[in-house]
Amino acid sequence: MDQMVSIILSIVFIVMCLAFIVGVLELSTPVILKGDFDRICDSYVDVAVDGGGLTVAQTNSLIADLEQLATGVTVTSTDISRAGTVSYKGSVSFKVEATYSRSSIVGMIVRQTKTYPFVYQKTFAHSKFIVD
Amino acid sequence: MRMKKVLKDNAGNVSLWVIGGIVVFFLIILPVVSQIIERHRVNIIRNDTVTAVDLALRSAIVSLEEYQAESQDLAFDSVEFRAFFESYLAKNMNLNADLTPTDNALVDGAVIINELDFHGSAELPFTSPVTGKTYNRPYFSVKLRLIIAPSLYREAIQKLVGISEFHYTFYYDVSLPIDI
Repeated sequence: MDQMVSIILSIVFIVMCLAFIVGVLELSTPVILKGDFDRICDSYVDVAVDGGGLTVAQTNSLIADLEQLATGVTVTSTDISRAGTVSYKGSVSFKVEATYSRSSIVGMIVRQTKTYPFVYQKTFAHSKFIVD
Repeated sequence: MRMKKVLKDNAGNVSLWVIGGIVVFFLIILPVVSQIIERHRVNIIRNDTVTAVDLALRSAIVSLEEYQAESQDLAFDSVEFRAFFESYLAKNMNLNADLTPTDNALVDGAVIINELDFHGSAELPFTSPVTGKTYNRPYFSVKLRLIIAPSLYREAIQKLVGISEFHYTFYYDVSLPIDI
């Protein structure tokens, strides 16, 4: 009888461990995705540093890259200085706001759509002269 | 061998399984998971800080007039340079003007600039002791002290030994861009 209880307890323990691991993965997914989101934005910041902002095509490409990151990522707004419009030493702004919606476990058998806001914001001085 | 014997002798002992499970969970699974999450969090903060410091340095250089590309040297007012640097660092790390964190900041305490130095031509070539990179043109070195709240498990251990915060020292160096 004791042996049977031990087996049941072992199974319960393994199930609890698995539930814990699934819970951790559920919680860490948005964090991991935010890291990837920042990495993509960083690469476009390098382009913006060189050009004093982004062109319309580059901004659209950024939005497309971010939305391809994962299902549920939607870019809600961008505030990025347009290339060629910021004077030398002028402040170049680079702000991207997005949301990430995913179905998350909120109870033993209940799933609910949760939305996480992603914001990336950088400001820097334009280092190139604009020749008219 | 002895452990194996103990387990074999207590194969049907329910309390041993319960205690064993609790010990495995709290002493192995929780610390490992906690450590993985914390390392990932520190990496995110580190990457964000790299970008912020890089942009702040380049913006501060641009904000000064005295850059001389030909001599590859920079005669600058370090107080003014530091003010520009701090201003851009604050904007890019979501800090207040005094470098204390706002609600959106990734760090949990005031950022302290321990080092913000310019190394001119006289010191070249120079190999960074931290990154191992060799610089053949003037460069800036920055050392920041970031305060990051400890994760659940680390916090419990730190409280036991009387430490209340988790410091992370960030070092970054960048050579002076000659194309600005």
